[in-house]
Amino acid sequence: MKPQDQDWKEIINNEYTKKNFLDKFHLSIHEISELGIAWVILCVAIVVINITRGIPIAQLTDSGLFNNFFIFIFVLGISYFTHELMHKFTAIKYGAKAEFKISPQALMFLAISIIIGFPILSVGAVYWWGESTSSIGIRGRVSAAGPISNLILVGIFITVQGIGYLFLENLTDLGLILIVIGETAVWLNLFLGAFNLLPIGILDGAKVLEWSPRVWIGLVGSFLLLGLFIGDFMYYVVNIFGGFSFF
Amino acid sequence: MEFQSKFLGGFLMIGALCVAYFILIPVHQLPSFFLNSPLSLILFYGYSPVNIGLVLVAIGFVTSIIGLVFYYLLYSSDRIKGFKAEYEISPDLTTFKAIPYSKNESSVQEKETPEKAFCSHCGKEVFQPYRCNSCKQLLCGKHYLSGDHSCVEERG
Repeated sequence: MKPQDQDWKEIINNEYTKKNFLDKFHLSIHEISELGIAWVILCVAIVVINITRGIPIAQLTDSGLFNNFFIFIFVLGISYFTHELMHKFTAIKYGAKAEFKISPQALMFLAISIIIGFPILSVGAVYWWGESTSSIGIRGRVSAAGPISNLILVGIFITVQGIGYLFLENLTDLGLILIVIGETAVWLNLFLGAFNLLPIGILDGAKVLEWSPRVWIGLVGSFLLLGLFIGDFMYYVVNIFGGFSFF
Repeated sequence: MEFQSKFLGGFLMIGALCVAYFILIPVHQLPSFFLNSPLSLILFYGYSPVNIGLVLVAIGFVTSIIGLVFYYLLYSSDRIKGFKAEYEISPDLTTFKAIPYSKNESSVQEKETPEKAFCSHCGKEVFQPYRCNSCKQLLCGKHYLSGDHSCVEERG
């Protein structure tokens, strides 16, 4: 071991410079609070969209225990956080600095979406900078990470739905809650992933296509296959254009 | 965004899907297989030979495994060529240096700043150049702030 390294170890193990739990994952309280504010803004925007389009709020589920809206908020938080944090962690893996920020341009898109009535769930973006941004391959990989996380979440929530169906006979309430969570999460993640993969402008799909069309076609194909044969893609399209059906 | 020929395929695919969903199915009355998948029909009518929960659990496992395979294929670091070395190139392309990357050395080690270098924005030769903290380029005194040179910043 070099003497320089020993000095560094002494500094790192010092009480005052000891690393936090958040610092281990390259997170800060400021960034987490920004993510939470983004979540709240998304929920408010969706409520406003539904009010302007005349869709009734607060309808109880069959179980009578939970409101569908709270399940939707819970699921939206999970899928949005994983989508953004996967971008961040892959960028950090390639030696870049990355941070989630609420950007005014994205908020402008959200305002346009409220006027149109079509939900564009954009509040901010993960900004990342460093040497690795100059490589097309790494840029494509970092932007492909979000939709891939959505794909994994779709798989997890289909299993949740299946477990709910298995519980239906003995534990009816728990089974119904699991089924509702699974259904909303599956179609929300399919919508998030498929919308982000559109090859337009600042969306993730443009960068993935610029890197390699093969990966883009594979991702879009997997999303469309899941949508057509498992999730009823047309049903979701009707839901999104005709208002969210979770209310 | 500049239009490139490779984007045409994606737009054609999306256009074909839009035509299928909004013209062919409602106008020409295609079979409702497109609207309702067999799985959803089973769920709606409540008849299935196997327990539907087991089928959903199996499908969910398969899809999550597909996602993990995607992740493994794309992000195993050996598949990126040239990622394990760091390069330094001067703007006039006369000097090119590759620094091999090894995990055993401490990651705290910083890059050496040479005594003389060419500014990567204006190309003038400077004595004791600055190094930008975010993009690690060598710069002269006029252009060392991130607004003055082309600091590489991306969003994803």
